[in-house]
This record gives sequence, C-alpha cells and structure tokens, in this order.
Amino acid sequence: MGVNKPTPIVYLVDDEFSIRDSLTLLIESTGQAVRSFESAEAFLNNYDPEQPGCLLLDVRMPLMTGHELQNELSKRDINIPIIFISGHADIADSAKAFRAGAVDFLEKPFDNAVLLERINEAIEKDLSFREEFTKKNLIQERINHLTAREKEVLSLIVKSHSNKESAKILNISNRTVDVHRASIMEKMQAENIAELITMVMYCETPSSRSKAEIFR
Amino acid sequence: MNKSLIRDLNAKNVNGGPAGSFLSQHSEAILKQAESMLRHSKADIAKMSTEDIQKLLFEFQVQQIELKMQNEELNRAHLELTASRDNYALLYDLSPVGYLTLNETGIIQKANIAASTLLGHTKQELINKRFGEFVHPSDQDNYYLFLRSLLTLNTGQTFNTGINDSSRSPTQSKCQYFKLCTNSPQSQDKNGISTYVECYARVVCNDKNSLQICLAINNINECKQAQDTIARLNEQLEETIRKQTNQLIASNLSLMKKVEELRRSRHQLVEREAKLNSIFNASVEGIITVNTSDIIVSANAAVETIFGYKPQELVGYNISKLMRSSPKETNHCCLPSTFESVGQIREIEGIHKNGSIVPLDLSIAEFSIDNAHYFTNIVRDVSLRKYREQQDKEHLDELAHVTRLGLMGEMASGIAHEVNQPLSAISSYAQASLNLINAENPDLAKLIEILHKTQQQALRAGQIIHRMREFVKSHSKHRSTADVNCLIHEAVSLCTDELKQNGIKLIFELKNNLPPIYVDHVQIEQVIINLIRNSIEALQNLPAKQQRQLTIHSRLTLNDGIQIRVKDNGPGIDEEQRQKILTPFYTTKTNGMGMGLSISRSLVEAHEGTLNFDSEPGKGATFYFTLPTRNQPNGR
Repeated sequence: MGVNKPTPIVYLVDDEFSIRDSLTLLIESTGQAVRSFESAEAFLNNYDPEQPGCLLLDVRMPLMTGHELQNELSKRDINIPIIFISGHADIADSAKAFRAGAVDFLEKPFDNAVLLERINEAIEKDLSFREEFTKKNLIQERINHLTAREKEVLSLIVKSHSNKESAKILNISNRTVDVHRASIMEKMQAENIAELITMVMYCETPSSRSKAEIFR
Repeated sequence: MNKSLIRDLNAKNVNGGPAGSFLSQHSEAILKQAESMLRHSKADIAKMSTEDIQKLLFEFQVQQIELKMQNEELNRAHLELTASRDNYALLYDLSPVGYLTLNETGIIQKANIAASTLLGHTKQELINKRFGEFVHPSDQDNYYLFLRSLLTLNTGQTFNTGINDSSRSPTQSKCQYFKLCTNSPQSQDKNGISTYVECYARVVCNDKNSLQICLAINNINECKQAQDTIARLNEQLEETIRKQTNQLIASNLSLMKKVEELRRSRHQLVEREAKLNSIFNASVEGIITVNTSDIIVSANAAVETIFGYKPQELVGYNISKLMRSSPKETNHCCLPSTFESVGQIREIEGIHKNGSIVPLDLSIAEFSIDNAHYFTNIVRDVSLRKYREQQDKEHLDELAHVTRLGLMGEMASGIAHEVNQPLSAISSYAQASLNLINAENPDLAKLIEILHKTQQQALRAGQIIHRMREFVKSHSKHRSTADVNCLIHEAVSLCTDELKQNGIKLIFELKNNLPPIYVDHVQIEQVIINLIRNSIEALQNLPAKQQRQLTIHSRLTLNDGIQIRVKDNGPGIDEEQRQKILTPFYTTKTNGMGMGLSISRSLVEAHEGTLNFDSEPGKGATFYFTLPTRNQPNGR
C-alpha cells in the first residue's frame, strides 16, 4: 500500500514474565522486532492492524485466554498469523486453535529453531497475504466503478457466455453488448478476455468472498 | 256478864286493826256460838242451882282467861304479821328484780319500783296496761307462746292442788328471755331502746280463785351484751381456730409430703449406696482413697489388675508407691491447685508391682468427713488406648500420605506446566545467549544478565520439584515449628497453575508476625492445598462472566490459636451437602475420592485443631481451620 513498507513485528502475549523476557531476548537476537504484552487485553489495546507481523500467543491466561483473543481478532477481521505456545500439549486446545486458523501450536519448552522458523513463516504469510489483499482491493475498486449493466455483462462473460448469448439473456442487441464489453475492458484495465476472467477469479478465491459480494 | 264479855271480845276484835280481818271472822264465829249457847240455856239458867251456876261461872272465867291469852297471842301474831307485811312490801318495792303481777289476760295488776324503772313508766302508769305492749315486736310471738304454755300447763296443776296450798305446787317458772321496748310503743319521745330481760313466771291462784301470773323480770342487758361479746369472741375464736386448724391441716399435709419425700430420698440414698458399692467393687477403674498425707486409706479390687497389688497390700502406704509423678503437687499443697486438679483428667505414669510403667488417666475428687479431707484418685489403665492412639496416628499418617499421592496425581499436570515455564524460559535464554555469542560483537553485559536469569529459572524449576517431592514423601515423622504464612505460600505454589488456568484471582490477607506453630509441615500444607483445590473446583461452576476470586486469610484467634481461612465466591454449599461434606467418600466431583475434606479434618484434629466451614449459598464458602500455638516441642 504505502511506498515504504513497515518492518514486521513479532507480537508476544504471555502472562508469565520469564517467558516474555526470554522469548523477547531470543527473537531480538535474530534481528526481529518484538513487542510483548502480559495480557490479551493489553495487546488488543495496542495493536495496529496495519502493522504486519505475527502473534505468539499463550493459551492459558487469566481473564482473556488465547482462544478468546483468537476469536476476537477474527471477529474484528484481523488476519494476523497466530502461533500458539502452551505449557500443555492438550489435543483439544490445539485442534481448536488450528480450526480457527492458527499457524502452529507449540508446547513449552519448545525447540527454539522451530519457533524461529515458524515466526519467519508466519511473517512471510502475513506479508504475502497483505500483498494479495492490496491487489484484490484494487480489482474490487475497478469492479465497483462499473455500471449496473456492465456488471451484469461482466458476470456473463466470466461464465463464458458469448456476446450473442449475453445479448439474448439480457434481451439487448449484440451491438450494445459489444459497447459494454469494450467499456468493461477499459475500466478493468484488462488486455484481453483471459486477463479479465483471471482478475475476477483472483478476487474470488483467496478470501471466501462469493460472486454476489464481488458484484455488489 | 256473858254479853259484856262477848262485847268486850267483839270490841277487842273490832279494834284488832289492820290485821283483824281474819281474826274478826274467827271471833265472830265464837260469838255466834256463845250467843246460841246463851239462847239455848236461858231457861236452864233459872233452873240451875247455884252450884251449877257457880260451876258455869267458873268455866266462863276459865274460858275468859283462855280467851285473854288467845287474844294476847293473836295480838302478838298480828304485830308480827304487820311487821312481816311491811318488810315484804319494802322488799317487794326495793328489790332489784322487777316484779309484776299479771292477770290471766296479761294485764298488769301490780308492779314494783324495779319493774317500773325497767319498763320506763311509773307504777300507776303500768297498772292495767298489757305487759305485751312492752314486749319487743320481734318477741311478740315468743311472748304469746310463753303466756299460753304458762297458763295451759298450769291450769291442770293449779286445780289439782287447790288454792291454799298453791305454794306447794311449784307453778310454772319457766325462764324466758324477751327483748322489751322499755317504753310504750305509743310514746314517741322515748326512743326505742331495747332492754333484754329474763322472766321468771309463776302462776298462782288468788283468793278469788282466778289465776295470777307473778313475773320476775331481770335486766340482763349487760349479761346479754356480755353474752353477745362472748358469742362474738366465740365466733372469732372459732374462726381463729378454724383458720389455725386449716393451717395445721395444710402444714400437716406438707409435713406428710416431706416425710414421704424423706422416705423416698432415704430409699434413694440406700439405693445409691448400694449402687455405689457395686460400682466401687465392680469398677474397671482403680479407685484409691488417700488422706491429706497421701497415705492410702482404701482401694478397690480393680487396683490389683492395674498395679498388681492387692488392695490390702496398699492400705497404709504412700500413693507414690503407685505413681511416678505423684499427684502430690496437685493433690494438696495448696488449695487453688487442688481445685484445678479436681475434676480434671490428667495423664500420668503408674508403676506396676513388677516395675513396668502403666500409662494412666487420673482424675481426682475431693471429699471431707468430720473435717478430715480425703482425695479419691480414680485411675484408668490406658495402655490399650495409647496403643490404639498410636496406631490411629500411624494409620492417619499413612492415609494422609496415600491421599497426598492421589492429590499429587491430580495436580501433576498443573505442576508439570508450572515446571515447564522456567524450563521453557531457560531454553529460550540459552538460545538467545548462543545467538549473542555467535554475533560479531557479543554484548557480554547482556550475556551475563541472560545467564543470570537462566540460573534463576533453573532454581525456580528445582524448587517446584523439591516441593513436590517433599509433598509426596512417605511421611515426615517429626513436627517442627513453622510460620503459617510460609506454609500457605508453599501450598499455593503447588496450585498456581490451576488457579491461573481457571482464571481465579488469588488474594492474600495474611497477618504478619504470627507466633510459630508446631506442626507436621507437609500435613498442614496438604490441608491448605485440599481447601484451595476444593475452592477452585467450586469456582469452576461460576458463570464465565463472573470474576472468580479466592482469598486466603491468616490471623490470631482470641484464645491464641492461628486460624487459616480459604474463602471463595463460588456457588456455596447447599443444605444437603452441608450435612455430608466432611464425611469420607462424599464428593461432588466426577473423579474425586471424597477423602480430601475428611482427611483434612482428621489431620487438623491430630494437631489438636478444628476444621469447619461457613457458607452462604450463592455467595461462596469459607473453609477454615484453627491450630493451637501452645503445642511446643516441650509442651504436652
């Protein structure tokens, strides 16, 4: 989005001081930036969704637990990758975490190399996600600029209907379809039909947006 | 001559004065006789010889003398009679008794002064008045009956006896009381003051052959008053007597009751004595009576089984023969200590005949007979109990250990997590250190700091493991002094993870500078852990929104005990649970044994403490236990 991308930050939420302290030192020693919080609430109050990074999250904490924080972030449409760290190798806990989209679930004490690797992976994931997200937003923006009739024509093109078929369905002349099509190609900045279809498909897939949403 | 004599005689007779009425009748008869004789002999006299005439004259002379003598006699009699009559009249009038003469119809014929005074009228006024007028209206009937009975009863008698001899026939003289109106009812001016009189009546026949009632009236007012007073006094007396009789009856009844009670209590005494005797002889406890010098006065049969001596072997000996720590110091040296020892049960050591030591319970009772004090020492052989107590204690220790192992099993996961924290930190610190060392310009100061932190975490992990090991050790047989707040912290350290996992806020309210307690550390920690874990369990039932809170509180109680309270704001204990909660094998947990609280209570009681709980359903529960601070190593 911006010209100079902010450096990713590893967020760390654990109520245990020794864990926060030791992990901060460890991660900092690899050159990553770290911000640690002793509670989920403190994290929520300080987190900037625009800031790329990942979250190391303890499962058991007083007041808001790791799972609860995960749900809260999802509710707020925040997609920061989460790596759970827990003192208990509880299958139920880990299943829950993965179902909700966690990157990994590590049991304390963990292999530091694995942790650091997962952190890197998570950051990568976040960065690429953010990139895709930006792209999609761009395409969506273009779609939003189409007229209602153009959107109808586009949806028929994506469904591989020919000009003739489209004219029939929409009960308009072939010629009119041609005019709309040219306008769509121009507004979507597509070189050809293949590229146009790829754009629309790309906008559909990664997130769970349906066509209805796209052509709102 | 004759005639003149007779005239003389007549004249004399006529001159007889007031007393001559009877006499004149008599002399009249003689005169008539003499005249008839004279008439008859008129002719004869002429025919008579002188001799005869002289003879007759002589006779006449003799007769004349006789007559003179008779006349003199009559005169004398007349005088006497007059005097007597005057006397009578005087007596009649002046008599203090009122006399009245009534005719048959009750009309007053005659009255004396006393009677007139009584009736309040002059004699003249009274004559021809009805006596009945003076009788009080209330007594009129009585008066009528009195009068009637007087006359009817009298008639027969009177007629039978004749007039002359009326004095011989004792006419009715019935005594009757009347109340009189001392004035006539007509006269208004004299107020109706009543006089009580007593009447004696006599009915006589007068010379006109009509009945007369002689009435003697006696004023008995005073007498009556006296009688009334007496009657009143009598009544009072009777009343008093009645009252006193009643009182006497009542007191008699109560006395009888008392007698009955006494009889009963005597019976009870006899019964009690018999019972006591049988108890004395059959008692399993040794009963030894000593005097103030500790010399044995009596002992029962049980003494032989306890000490091996026969009772007769002991009498006369000092009780120190039987007891190592003689009850002397408490027995009699000073009064307060006696009172202290009396009624209390002390544990002492007795000496058997064979020299072995017998643990005894001793209680002392004091009694005195005729100013001599005695002490009854009741001793019970408690070897068996001691043995059982020891066994119980060992059992409890074992049970405590087993439950501790169970507890540790339940807590293992939490403790493992607790250990994992420092281990995890150590691992990260170590990696960070390695990374630092591998850097181009290692920051040594930072490295030292990290290593120092690593060491601290290692120690922390070690401590947790050490505590855990201590906790599951078979048993620390020895008690030692401990600071109760330290015990609380150690117990809590084994539960921190569980508290955290359940989002429970832990609050300490610990009183500083509490006196040390002398306890088995592990067992008391076990109790605290049990209480904390119960609270955690209870708090899990609380709705997620509500803040779970657990407070641990320590303080000094009024009687120098130390109280530890574990309070939660969970749902509390309902009535049904309340009854069973301290009993073994009762549990509300799905995987609990139900031994926690039961064992905890036994452990606290083994430390001579008490464990209890309060609960307000819906607001939480507080479990608390109190331990004595007096149980020092050199204490009991």
